Amino acid sequence: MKKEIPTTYSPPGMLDWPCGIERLTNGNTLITDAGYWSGFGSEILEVDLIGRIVWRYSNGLVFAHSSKVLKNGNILVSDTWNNRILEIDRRGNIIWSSESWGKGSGILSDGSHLRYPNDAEETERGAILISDRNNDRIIEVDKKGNIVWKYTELKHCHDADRLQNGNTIVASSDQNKVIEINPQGDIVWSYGDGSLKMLNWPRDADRLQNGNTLITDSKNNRIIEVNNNGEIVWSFYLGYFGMPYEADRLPNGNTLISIQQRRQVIEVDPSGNIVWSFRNYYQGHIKERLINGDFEEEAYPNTGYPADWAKCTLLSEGPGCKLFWDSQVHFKGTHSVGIEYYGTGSVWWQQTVRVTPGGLYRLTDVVKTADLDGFAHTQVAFLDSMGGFFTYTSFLPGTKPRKGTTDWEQNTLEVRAPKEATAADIRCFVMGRGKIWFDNISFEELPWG
Amino acid sequence: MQKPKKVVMVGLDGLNPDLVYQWKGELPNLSKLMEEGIYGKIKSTVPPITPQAWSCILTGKNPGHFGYWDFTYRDDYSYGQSELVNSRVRDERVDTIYEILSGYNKKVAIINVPVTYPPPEIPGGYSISSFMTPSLNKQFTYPDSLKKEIEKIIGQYIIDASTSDMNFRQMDKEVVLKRIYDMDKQRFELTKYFIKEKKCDFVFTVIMGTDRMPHLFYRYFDKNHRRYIPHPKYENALKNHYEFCDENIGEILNLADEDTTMIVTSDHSVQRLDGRINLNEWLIKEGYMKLRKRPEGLASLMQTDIDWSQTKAWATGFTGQLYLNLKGRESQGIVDSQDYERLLDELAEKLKAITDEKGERLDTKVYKRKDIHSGEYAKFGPDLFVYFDNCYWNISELIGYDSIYSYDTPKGPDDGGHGPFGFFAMAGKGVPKRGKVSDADLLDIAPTVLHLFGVPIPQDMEGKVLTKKERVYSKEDEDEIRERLSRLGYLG
Repeated sequence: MKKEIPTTYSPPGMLDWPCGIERLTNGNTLITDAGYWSGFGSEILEVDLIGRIVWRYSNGLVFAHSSKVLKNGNILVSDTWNNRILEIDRRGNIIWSSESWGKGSGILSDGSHLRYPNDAEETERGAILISDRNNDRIIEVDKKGNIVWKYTELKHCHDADRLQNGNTIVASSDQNKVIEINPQGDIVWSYGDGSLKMLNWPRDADRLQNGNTLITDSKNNRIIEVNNNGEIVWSFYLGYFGMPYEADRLPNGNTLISIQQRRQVIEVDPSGNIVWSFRNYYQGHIKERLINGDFEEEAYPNTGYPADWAKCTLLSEGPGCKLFWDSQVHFKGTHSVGIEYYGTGSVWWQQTVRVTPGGLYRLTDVVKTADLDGFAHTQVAFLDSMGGFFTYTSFLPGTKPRKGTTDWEQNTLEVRAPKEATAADIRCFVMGRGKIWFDNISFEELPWG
Repeated sequence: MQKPKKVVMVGLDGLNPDLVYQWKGELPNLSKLMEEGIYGKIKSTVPPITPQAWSCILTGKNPGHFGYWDFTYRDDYSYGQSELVNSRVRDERVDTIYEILSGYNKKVAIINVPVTYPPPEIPGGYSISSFMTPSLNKQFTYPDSLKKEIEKIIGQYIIDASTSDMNFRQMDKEVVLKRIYDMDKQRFELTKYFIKEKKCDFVFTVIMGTDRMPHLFYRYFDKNHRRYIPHPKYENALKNHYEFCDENIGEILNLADEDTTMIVTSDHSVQRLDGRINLNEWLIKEGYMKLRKRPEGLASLMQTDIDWSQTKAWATGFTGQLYLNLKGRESQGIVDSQDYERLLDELAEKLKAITDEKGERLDTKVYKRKDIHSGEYAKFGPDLFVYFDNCYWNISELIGYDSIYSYDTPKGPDDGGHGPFGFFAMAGKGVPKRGKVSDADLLDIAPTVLHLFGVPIPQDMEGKVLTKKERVYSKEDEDEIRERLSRLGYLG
């Protein structure tokens, strides 16, 4: 029987991970879907009031974070994982790409390349203001790649907006601050003292018509509106781990919010009532139990791909990682899976399985590492029935982290599924630089739990 | 309902509700609390053993959250229960009301509450640890200076009815009787001291005499006791002690002002003990346990040479705790995971069929741990609990008997065993006059105390607030409303 090669797990039109959102003048909503962990499924969707997808674009996008309608009606896209900005037309043609800079090398006038751009907007003078996240800067670039303005005192920034007064507002996410900078590069306003209570990883800040600022306080799972004096005058708390990405105040006074972890876009009125919502995610790829944990079975003959496991490279922060099925190095049987990675993000092999809410589980792995600067282990990310996680990736429970060079070593973890959990991603996970192999993964419910 | 400023809680370990009801006429102060407030039987933990019962009272959480089911516990999947309960481990795992209240700037004193050694460091408060204190040479108070201070008031602190070298069950009855009274007097004295002199907002004392007395003297007054001995001197020993406690509660009530709420509660009852099922002997007889060598004389489970490769289950505890020897869990496990539920069901059926030594049916209840306990440490707990004849029969884990019946315990002969319901009564500021209630649980005490102080109740506390009146909406009410609305034409 032919086995599925789980390359995408994200059928066209399914919203996996909403990031950028925009309410269009026709009343529709433009949503940038960053895609599934596999790196597939990133697309731009235009949905109408009753949730029909009236337009979509996906061609080659990986982990795209924003799309904005230009004055000419085309769309400016930040194709984050591919380190590029694109202008596309409504027929799906690429009209322009930042890869055209530097005679097709994508190199900017200062000799650098975009790294992980997550936001791009057109400015008055026809240039593009880009949040160049992994270069820790925002830059204003003309279409030929000349940097005409920049600000560099940032840490993993998101969402730069040029204001009517000529200043620029940006969320410096890893500094837990929102700052407004004048053209000379002076900070003229800021919110957040660095404490997580005040702001925890803000990823969007908009200056409103009334002079207040609307901030998406992602890891505090809330949207806040602060006035010029830094007082919170309006707020919307999710009340669950949802990691909102962007919030826009609409002309009708409502607020449009993308909730990454619930794969959902909602519109709330000033009282916090949800008045519109779009969500079409379903968990079609969930297995009843973990299968092919010993990686012996191949998806199709001669594909060199292990059955039922997905390569997850969405957070690899760019190309260059190798995930492979290995017939040379293995613990038992004839195969293992390996990862060779030298990037700054994280990559993993993954299988999603059903779990009993509140059940006690035992995860076992066997791992071998070679010159690993960082760590590798097998981890569990529990999911609720909406596909939402319970905690941030950094806090996921896992087996013992392996480092350096280690021979095959078995480890186990006992972990209890949250009461609301219905599924779990089992991840053979690597963060760091080096080569790692995984074999004989098991994940079983313990009857005495 | 107005909030009290102070709450005084007197724990009477092992106080039996049926005896309180029986002797009510001679217990004027408990009767007063019952008449003016709320009272009833209070459901103990499974099993009804002191350490986790008081821990549930302190935390409002079931034992699975801190992993104690007895005086000993296991913290991995090893055989036996090698760890001894203590406050350090418990308080790392769960929040207690003394921590929560002191966090809200309440001045707290806890006196002799079981499982409070090492003595909890309560900010701005006081603690004196319980009978699980190693010796008077150790620091058993917080702050340290409190040790000297209380010595001036009560003399040398009596840790327990037992002396360090002898079990109270084996001591001369006259000696131990005096010692119990002396010990309990100290606790009552200290309670008054922390109310009056230290002006604490929350004083929580546990009296142990109410547990020790029935273990020693139950057979002398209860004619239903299988080993009843008419004894003119000790016939009223237990009743006299109940009256002594009642008198002291009266003194505390006199001391308490109108802004005080008084709570009296026990953690379980002590009731007559008819005998013991030698549960490991039974497991051997039924083929669930194999020995490599039978011990000479009586030996505990861990002293016995057990052939784990042929053993499916083992037992320990007072009322009966059973663990399966599971493959992938215990180091020499032989029971397949898939057989877990089936084997528990099989054992449950057979346990329920055990009769007394005369072949009379016992009213036995069996609980699967998974059905009644939850939390982080539940997984290390027993797989099955058994209450033989509603705990009128206990168990012995000892091996080496020639039958499955005995009267001895690892600690010697015993008159009383723990029963599944304690007694509670509360009255004073913030407590409505609700009379007898039938659904109280030890888990209700912690949220009730927090509610009385107006302190937010953590969401993960499992109990309910006993002083909150449930709105009554009876079928009768509904019928009347329907009739009225119909007459008015609102209903078709």
